[in-house]
Parts: sequence; C-alpha cells; structure tokens
Amino acid sequence: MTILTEQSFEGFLSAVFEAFRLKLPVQRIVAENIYSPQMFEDTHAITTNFENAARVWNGMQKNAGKNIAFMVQAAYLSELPEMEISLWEYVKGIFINPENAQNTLEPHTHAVFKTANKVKAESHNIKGFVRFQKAENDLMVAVIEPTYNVVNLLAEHFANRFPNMQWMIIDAKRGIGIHYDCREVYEICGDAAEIPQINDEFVALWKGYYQFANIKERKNPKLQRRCLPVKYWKHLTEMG
Amino acid sequence: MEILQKLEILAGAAKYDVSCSSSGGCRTTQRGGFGNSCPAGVCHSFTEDGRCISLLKILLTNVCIYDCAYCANRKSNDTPRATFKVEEVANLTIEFYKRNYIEGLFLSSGVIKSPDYTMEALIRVAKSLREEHKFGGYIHLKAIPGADPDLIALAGYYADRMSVNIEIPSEPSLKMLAPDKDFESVYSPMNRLRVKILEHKGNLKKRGLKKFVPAGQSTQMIVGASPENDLHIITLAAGLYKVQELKRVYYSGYIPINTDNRLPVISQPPLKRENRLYQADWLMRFYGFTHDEILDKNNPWLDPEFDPKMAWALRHPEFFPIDLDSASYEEILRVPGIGVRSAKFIVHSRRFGHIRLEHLKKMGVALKRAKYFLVNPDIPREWQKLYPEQIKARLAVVPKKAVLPSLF
Ligand code: SF4
Repeated sequence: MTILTEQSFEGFLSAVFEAFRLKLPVQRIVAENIYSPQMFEDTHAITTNFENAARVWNGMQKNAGKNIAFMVQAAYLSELPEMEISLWEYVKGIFINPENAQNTLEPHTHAVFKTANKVKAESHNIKGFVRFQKAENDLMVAVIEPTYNVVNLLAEHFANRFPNMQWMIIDAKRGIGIHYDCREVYEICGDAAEIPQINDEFVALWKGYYQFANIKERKNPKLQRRCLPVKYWKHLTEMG
Repeated sequence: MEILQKLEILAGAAKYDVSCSSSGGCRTTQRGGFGNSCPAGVCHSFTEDGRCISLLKILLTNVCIYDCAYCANRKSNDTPRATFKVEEVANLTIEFYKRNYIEGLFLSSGVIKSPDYTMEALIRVAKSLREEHKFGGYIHLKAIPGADPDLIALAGYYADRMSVNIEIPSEPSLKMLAPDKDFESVYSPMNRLRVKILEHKGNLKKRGLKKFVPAGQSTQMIVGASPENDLHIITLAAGLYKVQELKRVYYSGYIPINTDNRLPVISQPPLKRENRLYQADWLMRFYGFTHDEILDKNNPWLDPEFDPKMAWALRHPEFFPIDLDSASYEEILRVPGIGVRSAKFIVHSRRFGHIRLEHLKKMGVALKRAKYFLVNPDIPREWQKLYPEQIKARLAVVPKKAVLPSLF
C-alpha cells in the first residue's frame, strides 16, 4: 500500500502514527504533491495532525534519545525518495525494539544514519558558504541552493551569531527561506527572492582578499573543488 | 593608500602562515554584541591552492626591523610596505564577519620599532574589537617573539588562539637564517602562555573569570628551508604537543621567496613531504602513535611511497592480523585503511553482530589497504600470511590517486 502525505516532516510523522496504529501494510510513502498514480496501486491518504506528529517525535526522543530523533529529521530533510520507506521501518523499530535503534549493521538503520550524516555535513558546510548582501533597510540577504533541505537547520546558528541584525536566507531551489527580525526566526516563502541589492563596497574588498590569499606555487584546483564543490560557487560572492 | 591596496600588501604577506583553523572556540555572543565561535570551526571558502579561508588573515604591517632570510617582509627586501590603522582592521573584520565571509580575524605583524611596541599594537586591535565593538567572533593573535611575556599574557585575554612560530626546526639553523631570533625568544612567550592557560583551566569553575586563549596555542615550522630530517621534526612536534601542550603544529613546505645563499635552491615546494608530515602528526594526535614508532634512527625520513601508518604496518607484521570482533579500539586504529570514524563505527556496531566485509565497505574502509591486515571470514586466509614485500608489491599495482588530503 502507498501512503500519501503532505510534504512536510510533520506530515510524514503523522503518516507514521496512523499507519502504525492501523497496522497498514506500508510499501511506499510519498508526498501527495509529487505523487503520480500507478496502475493497480492501493493508496491511502493521511492528513497532517500535529498532535500525532508530536507524539511520534516525543516518543522517539523518549525511546532512543534526542540524537536519534534528530537523525530521523535530518534523514527526512534529504528529500531522497527512497528514504521514506527506510525511515518508516526505522521509526517503527524505535517503538518496537528500542535497543536496536543503534544497530547500524541493519540496512535501514545504516541508510538512515548515512543519509542523516550527509545532511548534517551539508548544513555544517553551508554555515560557512552563506553570503549576506546588504539590501534595503539594512536587511542582510543570502541566497543558497543546497542539495538537501537544510535551510531551517541554519536558523539557530545565525540567530545566535547576529542577534541584532535583520537577515534572511533564501533557498532559491525550493522557494522557501527563513527571516530573522532581531527577535525570532520565521519561515518564509521565497517569492521575496528578488531583493534589490545595494552597491556594497565590501564585495570588492572581499573579492580582492580572496585573490590575495591564494599561493600560486601551491595551485591545486582538484583539492579546491573537493573541499568547495562547484555546485556551491554560484552564490559565493568571491567566485562571481 | 586605499584599503584595497593595503589589503593586497598585507594579506599577500600574511598568506604564508598556514594556520587557518577557527576551531576550539567557545565564545557566546555578548549582550548587545554579535559573533560567537563554535568548537568545530567553520570553513568559509577555499582558494585555488585548496586551502581553507576561515579567518581574515592579515598583517598589521609588513614593515620589519628584522631580516629573516626566508621572509618576504625582511628589511633588506625592496617591497611595497603598508600599515593598517587599528580602526581599519576592526572595520574590515566586522564588515566581513557580518556578511559571513569569515569566522574572525588572524592578525600577525612584522616587527615595528620593537617586539613590545608591535605586541601592544596587536593588543589594541583585539581590545577594540572585543570591548568597543563587542565582537564575539574568533581572534587569532600572533605572539611576537621577544615581546615582554606580560604583554603576551595580556593579549591572551582578547584572543581565542595565540601562536608563536618556531619557523625553523632547529636552533642552529634558526640562528643562521634569522640572526635576530633564537629558541629562547620563541619558547619564553610559549611557556608563559602555557602556564597561564593551565591556571585558567584550573579555575574554570570560578564564575566571571575572563577567558584566556580558550582555543590554545599553535605554531608553525617551515619544512625544507634547513637540513633537519623528518625524525627531528616530528620529535620536536611531539615535544610541543606534550610539554608545551600546543593544540596544533603546522608544517609549511618551504616556498622560495628570496634568493639568499643560506637557503636551498628548489624548483617546487616540498608538498609531498609536507603532506607526509601532516599524516604523521595525525597519527600522533588521533591514532595513539608515538613519534619514535613512526620513525627511528634507522628510518629518519618518511616514506614517499607509503603513508606513515602503512609504513609502520609493513615494518610490524607481528602486530597483524587484527580480528575486528575482539581487538581493542586502539588496535583497530592501527590497521591501514581504517580511520578514526570507521574504527569507532566498528566498535559500536560489533555489539549487534559480526562485522562482514560489506559492512566495512559501507563504512568507507579502504579495503584495498586494510584487507591484508584483518582476520575475517570474507577474506581469503592466505592474504594474512603474505610477507611485507609481497604486500608492497600488491599495493604498488593499485593506481594511486594523487590528491592531497585537506588537513588544514
Ligand atoms: S621578524 Fe617576522 S616579519 Fe620580520 S623578517 Fe622575521 S619572519 Fe619576517
């Protein structure tokens, strides 16, 4: 049976809750908006229920710890289609047999951990690759296009770092973003991505610095590309 | 002079200091201020040489009263000179930081007037950033050799990390190449910092105590400008880690900047050697190897063909094969091709069942190298009976990837 959900982590957790409760024979979990019907497929749509989602979330924390719950969330944010079934099996396992939650010899667990670590690694790297540009009204705006859906994972880092600065980080790939108004971080839709940039004198200084810091005699573009994958260059001020 | 021009001169002159790390910090944002640092550090960009940019790395000035043979700023060089004002450095740091270009500032300097005078100037910058601008980002300050230890200790209240560069790994060579310096001028600030860092660690629980160099000290040695062998260098490094309690020792392959008959003539910086030294350094810091296990009197140079861990394994067939089901974490770490992460993974996972070859593959173990050193039902038994020479021959046919690991 294919379970249809809303495309959100809460939607996914709601589906896990219902499917577990009803003992549904889950074969696939797909977000409704990207689902294309297949012949002879038995589907079951589950609407998002924040209370149920919270119960699964808290239950995971209680049974297996905060870290594990975060691993599940991170793996979900990979948005990889094959992830949802591994996550379903894994989360189910947390409730049936919590001692086994750390057993990475088990293929689903391994898949979840491996993917979660990739997502966490990307969100760490992006913390360095975000580039703010001055826009109107002293708002600082950055655009990113991460492989995984990590923009929300950046909120705390930048809110702590710049508590008195208004900033916005837009994920141009997904049309979403976060906005901080010196008090709280809000999730936004990225239609506001077209923000007029003010001529920023520090861009030229930074571009200059980037060139001055390079040692010609040590040229090693291969290493550079491995550390700083080309897919991120588009939004790096110093590369433009 | 325009800021951009100054930046060109003073970033260009600072780039040879290889330390770039922004790790080990633990500052939280001050009230009304901005900026913090996290223990893991963050890389913001990578230059074409593959080195990470995490800090705005500049000199306060490249004017210098000294004449070190290996240095671009030595007084006998005819090169454009520039000096930043305190406010210029603070402003650049802050504005770069707010755009998330950097994690903080790395500030070094040529020696103007005297070591004390220079050290005071560096302190003024750090103090302005911390106190006037309430900047909580990372600050790495250079301790100027020969400066009054009290001044250096004062700097430590503003910096996250400090470093005094040894530059030349033996005193006779140092004296020859840098006539104004000796080991004493390097070790005395280093010692002062070490003692003070220790004191502060002991008093950690006292509330309200100001942080003192929370990310510790580091140093740098130039490799290949003087004749010392690798054994000498890693022995020195081991002492720096153990006795001086440094957080990092950096190795910088010598790049000829000046022509000077006290210096060797080379066409390429010794990058391979530098890479091997970093690998040896990692073995000492994370793999439980001691310097005299990695090299000894009969083998004073690191092998260009095999990484130091493989070289050790080939010299110690009696240690292998290792059984992953029963070996200790420390033993597993010694298997070529198994890194810290995989070793932890193995110790963690084996509680749940046997580790099979497919698991090792999934974990990212380099089986090409590891397979000769393991007991495992999936590995042919005769592989464990091979002599080192036979293993060497088999390893040699594996096409080598010529990429430098990023260790900075
Ligand atoms: S003291 Fe430092 S800046 Fe001055 S010449 Fe020597 S190495 Fe260069």
